[in-house]
Amino acid sequence: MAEKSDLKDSPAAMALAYGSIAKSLHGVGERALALDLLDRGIRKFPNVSGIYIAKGEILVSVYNSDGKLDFLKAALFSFEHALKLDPQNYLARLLAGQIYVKAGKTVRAKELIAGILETNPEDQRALSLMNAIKDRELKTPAQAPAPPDAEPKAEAVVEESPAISAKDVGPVPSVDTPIMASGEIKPGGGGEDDEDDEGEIVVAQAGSSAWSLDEKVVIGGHEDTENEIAHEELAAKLTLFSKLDGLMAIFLLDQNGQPIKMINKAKLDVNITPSLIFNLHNASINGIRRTGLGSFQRGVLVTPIGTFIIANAFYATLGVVVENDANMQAVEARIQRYLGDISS
Amino acid sequence: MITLKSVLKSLCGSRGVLGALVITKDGMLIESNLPPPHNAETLAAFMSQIAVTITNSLNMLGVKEFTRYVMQSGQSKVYIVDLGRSALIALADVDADAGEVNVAIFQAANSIKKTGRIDV
Repeated sequence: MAEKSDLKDSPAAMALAYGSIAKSLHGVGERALALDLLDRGIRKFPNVSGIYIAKGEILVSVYNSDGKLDFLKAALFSFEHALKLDPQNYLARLLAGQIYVKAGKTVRAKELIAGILETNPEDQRALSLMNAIKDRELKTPAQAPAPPDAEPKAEAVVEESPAISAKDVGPVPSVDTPIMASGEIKPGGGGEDDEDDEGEIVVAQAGSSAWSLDEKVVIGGHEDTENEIAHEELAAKLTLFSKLDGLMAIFLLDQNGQPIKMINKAKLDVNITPSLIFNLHNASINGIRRTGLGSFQRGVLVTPIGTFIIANAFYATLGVVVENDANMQAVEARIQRYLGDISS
Repeated sequence: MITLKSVLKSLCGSRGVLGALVITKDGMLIESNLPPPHNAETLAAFMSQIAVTITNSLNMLGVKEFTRYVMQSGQSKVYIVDLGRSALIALADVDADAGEVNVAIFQAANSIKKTGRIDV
C-alpha cells in the first residue's frame, strides 16, 4: 500500500516507474512499446530529468544494437534536456559526452566530462573518455584557431534532433551497415571536425582508425539482472524508515546516480537532490582516500533545508534527508539497522 | 588580538581535535595547524573539491551556504564548515565526543568570522 501511495502522491515516483517499466519492456524486446510509454511519461511529467535519461538510455541501446544514427541523435536530445533540468547529472553528462565525442564535438564533450572530473577526478569512465578525447586531439593535424563560435552551442546542435518515438522504431539497418549511411548525419572521423558547419552532428565512420573509442556508447552499471535484483531488495527494505520522526526524504541511487527508489515527503527537488547526494558521495570517497584518511563510511551534511545523511549501501548510494531538529541518534540507529539488514 | 593562527591553535587544543586548517573554496591554503603525517596542501585541495560540489548543488536549490559537512572514515572524522568564500576544515578522532567537537568547531568558526580576514 505504501508503494501505491508513493506513486499516487509523487510525480517523480511516477516518472521513475515509467522509466523502470520502459526499461523492462525494452529488455524483453518491446522497444516500440517502451519508447511509446516514455513519450507518454514525458508528456505527463516534462520536468523530471530521470525520464529523459531513461529514454536516452533506451535510444543508446537501440543505436548500439542497430547502428542507426537517428537514435543516437535523439538520445543526445534527451540527455541535453535532462541536463537543462539537472546540470550536474552524472549519467547524462557521461553519455552525452560519449555521443559528442563520436560526433566530433569535443569542446562540448570536454565541458561535460570536466564537470564530472571536477567532482570526482578519479572517475574511471570519465577519465578514459577524457583521455580518448585528448588522444584524438593529438592525432588531429594542427588547425588554424577556430573562431569562438565555431562549435555550435549544445542547444543548437540538439535543437534539430529528430524526436524518435515508437512509430519510428521499425526495420533498421543491420549492424554491418555503415553508420554514415543515415540521413543528414555526416560521416566524420577525420579528427578535425570540431568546426563542422550548420550544427549537424558528425559521427565518426564505423571502423575509422582516427580515434580509439569503441563504436558503442557504453552505458555501464545497472544493466545486469543481478544488480536489478539487488536493487529491488535494497528498495524493499526502505520500509525500515517508516514512521521515522523528522524524515523528509530518502533517495536510493544506482551506480550511475539514477534513482532506484525515492520517498520524497518534503517534496525536495527530484532532479538536483539525487545528483547532490551522488556527486557528494563520490567526492567524499575520493577525498577521504586521497588524503590518506582511510575509507569513507558516512557523510552528514547540515544545510538550511535539512540534514543529508549519505552512506554506501552495497550496490547503491543511500541518501536520507531529515529535518535539522530530528533526533540524530534515532536516525543513525535506523540507518545502521538498514545497512545491517541489507548486508545480512 | 584574535588571529587565525590562535583560533586554530585553540581549536586543536580541544579534546579529540587532531588538526585544523582554513582554506578558500578554490583550494588555497590560508592557515593551518596540522601535525604530520597529514599534508595541509593536499587536504586543502581535496576538501575544497567537496565544498564546491556541495555549494554548486545547493545553489541550484536556492541555498547559498551549508552549515557543515562531516565525513567519517574508519580512522577519523573530517569537518568542513562553510565560512562563505572560505571554509574551516577540522580533523577529529573517530571516537571523539561528537557534541564536544561540534561545540569547539562552532566556536572556532564564529571567532574566524569575527576576525574578518577570511573574505579573500
